[in-house]
Amino acid sequence: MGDIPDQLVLKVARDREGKRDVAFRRVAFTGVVAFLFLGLVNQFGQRPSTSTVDSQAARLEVYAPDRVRGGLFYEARFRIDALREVKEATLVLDPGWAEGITINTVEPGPIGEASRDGKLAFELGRIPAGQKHVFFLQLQVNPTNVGHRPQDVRLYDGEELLVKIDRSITVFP
Amino acid sequence: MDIVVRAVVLFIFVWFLTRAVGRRELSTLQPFDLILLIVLGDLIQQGVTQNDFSVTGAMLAGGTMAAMTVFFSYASSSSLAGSGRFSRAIP
Repeated sequence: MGDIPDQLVLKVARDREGKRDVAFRRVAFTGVVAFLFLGLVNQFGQRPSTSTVDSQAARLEVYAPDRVRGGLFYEARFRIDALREVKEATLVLDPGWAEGITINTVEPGPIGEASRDGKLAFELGRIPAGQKHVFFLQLQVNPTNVGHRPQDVRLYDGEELLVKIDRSITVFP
Repeated sequence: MDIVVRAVVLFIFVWFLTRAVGRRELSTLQPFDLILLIVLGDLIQQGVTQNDFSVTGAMLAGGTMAAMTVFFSYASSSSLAGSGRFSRAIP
């Protein structure tokens, strides 16, 4: 075996004495794995969740993600179960449903669309007692849209508020 | 969640593909091998990120690929390799 070069210090170069690079790398890698774990458990979207509210007149269920990322396509499903006849069902959505989010499709097409105090109102028509109405929105998050917004959902029969679901959406950059 | 799973699946697929095509030294790559590597990267990206244009999505995909690389390196170099079959299978 040849001599050790003059400028090489074995304790530093071989034994890594006083070096913390390995420890730093391990901590950093643990951080990366923890970040991936958070991604796996839906902390950054986009798995849908279900919110349900009942009243004596109707039951409203919203199935949509509450955490999304820029560019993602997703679906929001609204199911209304009429426990008594709802003559003029109107679904009123907070502006957060459309703020920085493209609404690609609304199915089935509502009878009418309007603004109700700055909110999106979809007139769905009559729902007989015991029947259900399922309403779909196909959405895409605009990439420049980042932040947290309310996305409350209200169901009216004409001007009478039947049920309200409090929810919000977080858009990650 | 999906993006991490997609990155893991495609990492394993790319690893399998490179094994199936045949492992070569960089210095012995034919021009078409280089083209294949570049095109493969472009095609794989569509499957991993799909329509996700977010920084978070890119960090998740990149982090997963990096973690899988470290895991495969560790598995191939550790005593877990046992008879050496794993070492031979994983570059």
